[in-house]
Amino acid sequence: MEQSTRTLQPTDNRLLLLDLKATQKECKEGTRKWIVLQSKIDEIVAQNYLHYVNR
Amino acid sequence: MAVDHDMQSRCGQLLISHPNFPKQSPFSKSLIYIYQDDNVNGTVGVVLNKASRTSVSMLCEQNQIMFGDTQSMMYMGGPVNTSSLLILHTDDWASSNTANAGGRLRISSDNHMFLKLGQGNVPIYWRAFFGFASWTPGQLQSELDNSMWLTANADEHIIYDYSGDKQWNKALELCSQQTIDYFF
Repeated sequence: MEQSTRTLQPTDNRLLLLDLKATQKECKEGTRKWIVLQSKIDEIVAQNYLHYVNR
Repeated sequence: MAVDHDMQSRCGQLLISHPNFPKQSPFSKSLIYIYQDDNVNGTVGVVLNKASRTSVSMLCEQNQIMFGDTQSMMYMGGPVNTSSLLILHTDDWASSNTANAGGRLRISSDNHMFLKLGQGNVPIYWRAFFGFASWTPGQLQSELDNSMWLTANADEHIIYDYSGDKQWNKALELCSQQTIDYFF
């Protein structure tokens, strides 16, 4: 397999997180869509928690 | 020995076990309330969301105390000194050995507290525990640095209104909300 030699910028998913939060605000709390979005938000925060807290 | 007051105390914070915490660990999906934290004595807290099979009324009955509420359960506060009994409660109530536990919360541990409960003298919100969890100075920081725990400022609603995995999920949600509000 070919490999890229370019340096890739890692993401802390900040924009995605804010986007998910904005989408969630348009949903009624407790609905299935709201819960799925919350679970994605929780996952991203947990994955990047130290990065966010220590920035 | 002098206490370094410059250290930021975590007293009153919630420790939420990371979703990636090994499932076989007894702390998987655990939610802990920290009621003591300094760099001399270390950190002490109670696991909030692991109910035992013993009800408070069963415990009282063993001590010849009548306690009418058969729904309230004893919780497993942690692996340290599991024969000790503690009550985390709101500040509207006190027993003979009651200490500040951060914010409006107090922690009590003495021979009279269940007698008082049995007499109908109860705090607005309370939860009773067997044992507690503790960390030596620096140990918790090391675990935080290794992403074992997430933290959030405690919310009484989450401490007293939920139990089990649902309580852990609610705390995770609170952590997400606070993280977005504080750091973004």
